[in-house]
Amino acid sequence: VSALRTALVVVVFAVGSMLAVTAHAQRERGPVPAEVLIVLATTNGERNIDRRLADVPALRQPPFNTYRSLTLLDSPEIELRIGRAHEVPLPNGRRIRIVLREITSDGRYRFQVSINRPGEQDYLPELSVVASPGDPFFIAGQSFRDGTLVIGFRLGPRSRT
Amino acid sequence: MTGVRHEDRLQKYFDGELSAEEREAMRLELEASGDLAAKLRGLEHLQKLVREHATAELEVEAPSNDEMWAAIQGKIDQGIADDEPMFPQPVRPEQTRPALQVIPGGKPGDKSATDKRVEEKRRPRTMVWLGVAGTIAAAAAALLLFVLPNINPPGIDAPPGGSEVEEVDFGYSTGAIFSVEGQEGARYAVVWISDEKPLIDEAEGTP
Repeated sequence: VSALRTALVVVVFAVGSMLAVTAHAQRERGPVPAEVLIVLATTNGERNIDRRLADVPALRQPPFNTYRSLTLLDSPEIELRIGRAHEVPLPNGRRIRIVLREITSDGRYRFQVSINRPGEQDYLPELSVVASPGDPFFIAGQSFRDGTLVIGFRLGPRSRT
Repeated sequence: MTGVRHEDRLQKYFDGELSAEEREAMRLELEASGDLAAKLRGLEHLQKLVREHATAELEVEAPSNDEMWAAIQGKIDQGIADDEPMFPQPVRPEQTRPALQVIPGGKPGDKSATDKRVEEKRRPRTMVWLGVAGTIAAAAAALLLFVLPNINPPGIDAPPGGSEVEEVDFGYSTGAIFSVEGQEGARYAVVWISDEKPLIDEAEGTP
């Protein structure tokens, strides 16, 4: 009976420790939600800012406020895992490749981005960025239709933009 | 000679208080009288009973101081253990000893009824501690699972906010890095990169 009681205590603590380790591992290795904003900025026509970009006030700051129109073409939501590449197609035929490298000790995301046509390196070979959860980062400059593509990236839970 | 005198002389004969002549005369009378010889045997039997009783009474008496000290000195000299009886002979007859309750010793693994009763009394307390330990383990797991992921470790401030470019390879394109201001003063990085291929100087092979 005494041995059974001891075994029961050990099992309880083992389960507790296992849950704790699992929780910690889940936090470290769990998927990080991310959002890619694909925006077409044009200088022609009427002034029109897509309502869906209302929560991205940075696009109302210079130099983005020089564009008369900002249209959200697509906003794919993806889940990133450390060391695993994720690709998002662009309307101009290029593809965005995103790799989450690590979550820093202060909770920021270090990730790499490249934008190229499949099998080529015709645009942006490599870019390394560190961003706080929910804070955007932008890549702009690609010509598309009669405007310019502005691509925003937001990783992790959104706190402020 | 009357009966009383015969018995008186017989008692004195039995006690050895008669003279030699009187003892010889009494011996002849005993040989001649069966009744008188029977009375003598009765006296002898009575004496035997009295002696046995006197011996038993003597054994009940405590030993004298001299006997006790001699026994103690003997035990010291012989190295006899304290739990051995000092006086091997029984002090009292077995029947007169008070009833004693046997209390088991403390050998490991021996579970007497008393031990089991004590164990049964302790069981509820053990179960309480078991429950407390389980609750603590569950609380610790819940803390790590639900609470700690949402707070920063002590001594570490919240992330500074914003985004920044650590390294960039523009390839053959031209580009620039700057930042725009967001909420709460955070700075968000912007990489502006042209997708127009620059003209390459065929002679030098450089843009």
